[in-house]
Amino acid sequence: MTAAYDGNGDRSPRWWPSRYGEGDERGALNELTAEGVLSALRLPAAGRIIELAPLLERDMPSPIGREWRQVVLADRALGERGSFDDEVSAPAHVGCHVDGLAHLGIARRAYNGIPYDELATRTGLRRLGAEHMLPWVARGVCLDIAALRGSEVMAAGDAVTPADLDAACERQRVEPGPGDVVLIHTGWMAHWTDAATYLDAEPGLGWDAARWLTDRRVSAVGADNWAVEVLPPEDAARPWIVHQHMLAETGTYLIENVMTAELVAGGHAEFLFIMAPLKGRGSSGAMVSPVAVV
Amino acid sequence: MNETALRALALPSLGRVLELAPLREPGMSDPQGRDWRQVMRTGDALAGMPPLGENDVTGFEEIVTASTHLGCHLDAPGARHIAGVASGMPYAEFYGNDGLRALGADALRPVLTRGILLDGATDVHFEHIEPGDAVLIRGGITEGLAEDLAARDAGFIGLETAGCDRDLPLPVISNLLLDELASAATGPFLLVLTPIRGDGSTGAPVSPLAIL
Repeated sequence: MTAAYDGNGDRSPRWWPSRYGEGDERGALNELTAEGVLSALRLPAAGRIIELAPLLERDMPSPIGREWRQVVLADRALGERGSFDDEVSAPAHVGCHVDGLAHLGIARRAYNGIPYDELATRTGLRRLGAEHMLPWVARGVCLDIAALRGSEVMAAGDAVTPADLDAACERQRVEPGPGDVVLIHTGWMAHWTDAATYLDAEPGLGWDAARWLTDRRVSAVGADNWAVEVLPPEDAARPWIVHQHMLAETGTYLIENVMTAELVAGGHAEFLFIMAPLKGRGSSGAMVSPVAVV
Repeated sequence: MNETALRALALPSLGRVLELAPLREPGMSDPQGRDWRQVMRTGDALAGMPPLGENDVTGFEEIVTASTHLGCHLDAPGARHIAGVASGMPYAEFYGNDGLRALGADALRPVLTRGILLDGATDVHFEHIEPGDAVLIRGGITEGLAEDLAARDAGFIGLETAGCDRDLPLPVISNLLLDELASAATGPFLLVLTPIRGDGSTGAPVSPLAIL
């Protein structure tokens, strides 16, 4: 490790440059290789596609004032023949999406220590935007943490620990490695249709579990909740600390609102994971519709 | 068992993944004048949100406004009508101002299939087209080609343009970038479509992948 963010913001020891090199803007996508693509493509036995993104809907749970809105335009629709169009307005951070490396930072520095005064304009990011993302064609691993609790749905505020990750790997006979996409199943998406409960708090990754994952150099971590990390945070004075470690320090992408229930129900601990971000220039994240192929 | 997907998954030999969608950005090409607009919205856009907590968390996010028909996309079943009827359903039964009540993009599904590149469409060997193939056409689409592909039960037609001046008998993937694929592909490849599905949307943006 070349970096060591200690969770103390501006007072932390210097946590950059990134382990992928000074000036890098891709982060853990650097772990993806052609050999990794080919070996992941060999994983499916049935060719069955499991959709991991929920349908985007106006009333789906979206935190902090985010909203997905659309208007269908029908101005030419009543002629002899024609087509409809629409206009959709939304942050990239609604529904299933991947957080870009500048979404959250540490004391006005983003991934690789890039200072905010070099980063933003009113219409987008000059650096670290979604244009630097690559598609994921990788091995996916789904760790069923809810099963370890003997429960369908973990409790709000229940933090996943390194011991949980070890136990899940042993129980499911799987071991995450470099470039893998790890999906954490908490069962929390059972509350997807109850926005108030879904958004109020959630089970998710704790600080030590996040480091367990980045030590294995995974390319992305997703979960069936809206923030991947546990809410309220383990230390109330340190919100979004897992985001800081993942995005800013290690360049590890976060995938939020991932439907993991079907993977768990089918016992799919390992699968082909494909995710093609909808890339906008200078965006801090990207809408995605990832699939698992088994 | 999804034989079409399994056969397609066996095609790649290089492990090279090509993105076929253009980057979404202001001023991107669209013949109908659609545009992609983004506004950073967190705190002061240039400074991000003010530091929060003892860990000084700061950040950015944005709002994007665009048509689902901008750039690479798939049409929803209700996107086109003839005399007010789409997929056999009259306009009044499916149109809604905030989303189609039926025939919307929620009906679209992810696809893994074999991709074939036709370069210039001058030398087409229709006997090589298999049911479900996505046939990507570099250069203009010639008269009757789409109908011939439909007769072979091809699954999709891919175009470099925003559309076609006539209705085609197969689902269309529009606005594809095919130059890199043309120089890299030496045969069939794995084509992946994972549409971003909105409830009642008239289309679904997609970032198609060709895997060689």
